[in-house]
Amino acid sequence: MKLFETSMTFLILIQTLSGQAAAQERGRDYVFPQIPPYQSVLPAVRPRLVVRELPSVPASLSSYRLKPAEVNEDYARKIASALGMRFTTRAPQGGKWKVAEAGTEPSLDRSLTVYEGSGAFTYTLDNLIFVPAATQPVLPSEAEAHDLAVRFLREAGLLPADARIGLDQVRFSRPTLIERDTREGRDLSQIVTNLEVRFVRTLDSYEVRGPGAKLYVIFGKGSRIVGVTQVWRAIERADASHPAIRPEEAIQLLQEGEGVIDADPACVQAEISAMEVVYWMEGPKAEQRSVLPVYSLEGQCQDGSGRETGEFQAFAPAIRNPPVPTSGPGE
Amino acid sequence: MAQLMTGMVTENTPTRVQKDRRQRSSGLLPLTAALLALLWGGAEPLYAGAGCCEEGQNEVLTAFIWDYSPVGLPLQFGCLLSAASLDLEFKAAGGWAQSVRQNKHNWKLDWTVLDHFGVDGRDFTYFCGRGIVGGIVLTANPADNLVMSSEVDFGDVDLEWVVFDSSLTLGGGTQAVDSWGKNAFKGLHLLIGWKDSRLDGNSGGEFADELIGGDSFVAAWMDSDGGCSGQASGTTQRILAEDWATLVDHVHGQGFVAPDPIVDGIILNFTHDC
Repeated sequence: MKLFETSMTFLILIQTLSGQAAAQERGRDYVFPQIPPYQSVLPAVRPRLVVRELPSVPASLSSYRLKPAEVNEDYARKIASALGMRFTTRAPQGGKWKVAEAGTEPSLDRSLTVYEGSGAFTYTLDNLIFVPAATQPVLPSEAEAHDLAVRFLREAGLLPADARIGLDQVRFSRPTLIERDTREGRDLSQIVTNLEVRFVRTLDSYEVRGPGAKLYVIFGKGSRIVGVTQVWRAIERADASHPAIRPEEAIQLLQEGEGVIDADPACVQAEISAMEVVYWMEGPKAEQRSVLPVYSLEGQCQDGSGRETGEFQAFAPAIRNPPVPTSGPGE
Repeated sequence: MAQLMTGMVTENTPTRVQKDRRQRSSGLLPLTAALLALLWGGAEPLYAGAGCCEEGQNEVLTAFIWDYSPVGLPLQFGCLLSAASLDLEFKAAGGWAQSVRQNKHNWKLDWTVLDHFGVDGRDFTYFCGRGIVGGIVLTANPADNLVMSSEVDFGDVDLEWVVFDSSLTLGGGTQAVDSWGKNAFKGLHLLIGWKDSRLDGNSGGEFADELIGGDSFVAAWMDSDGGCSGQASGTTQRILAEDWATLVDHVHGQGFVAPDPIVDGIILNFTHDC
């Protein structure tokens, strides 16, 4: 196991070095976050991008330094306490502190995972979350869920100061279960099993995206909170101001093979409906130190005859390396 | 469709971008991956049937592809990590006969006409690799490199649960869902995967950690510390189930497992955004 973990570290190191070397080979001068590729079957040639409306972007964009996560027993204990759980774990395993608490009845069994790398946590009522019901459970309205979620997080001391908490700023998600007769080709019933309130984070008014931008409160039957997820690294300070790459240049870079895209094999052209700057935050296991802006593009793929073939999404570089300061006279 | 795919990925003259991608994937990376596979020890190529099909034994097959160069696509290492982590979780749990297939040792026959020696000979099969709507992409035979929903029938031997940890495999509309429902469910309990494209990361290891920790398949896949942990907010998952009871299945030894369901063409389609 140790040998395996060592070799994994080696692999990640090699991947990082190879990526850097590749960027240098082509003489590129941009900074791009660690966005993994999509695991899809890409077209042999990158599709032509048609962008109707380019975003307005300032001459420079900031990168931010993240506060190093100090995730130790005290931290994990504090999260457990905020959620009203007894802390019984002695040591983390695989980069995670895991706490399990048996309830007085099975529906009260709870568990908590706290990530060492980021301080992120997941809290669930194990026998209630994502458990299907044959009839539609009574769920709170969006306004009720929003109010309950904000109040719960605030009272538990788990509401980040920079979370956007207005009713018009949060998003709602509904896991849905459909019973379907595949021979007859018709739906027999549809049940929304949960209602999730999802908080959005912004930096310099740009949305934070990626696996590390999550704050959800999940409601089940009878407005009960059955889960909470938080991946929300603390920002320490603005790190550097970088010259921004113009949107037109970013599109050019994408078409030259830079950045990350997701498109179907038949995609010859993509009609971009949204292009914007976002900040990319990595998943909860990663020990991320800085957060960088990128361009996010979304749209529809078309084949050679103009037929829509699927969704298109991509991330393109948004910033260059900061200019190296020159020494003034007498320095 | 198979021919279309083959044409798309192997017959086109490589463009500058293609060459560029191949260059980026060359050098130390394949060597490192090969070294890793060797060190792992579980990733030696196995012929179909090895470690397979003992009645009453719990069997898991971990199938993964990181080297897509035979079909002209870039290498992706997330599946190596995902599959290795999942395999190690099952090893640590104990009580499982495990077999592993990587890259070109994943044969289409094991998923289709000879599946009783391949995927259907196990209780649980996990696949990590590239996918398209309604199928997965293999590399053993570039001329016929897709396994589509219309070609499979799972569960008529032993198979209870399949995970397709691959982009879009369970995507598409009702027609795609109906095709999986009519063809794949021949005794199968659950078909688990992605409706959207997924980022190349270790979703398999995080999922297995939760599964072996006692979560149901559904919870382990949908939890933000399970299958969702490396995926961006809004990436949609899909789980298809034969009936209500199978939706709360746990892996053997970790909790409730429903009796083998009646095959009636009626399935449950559960979607969730990470």
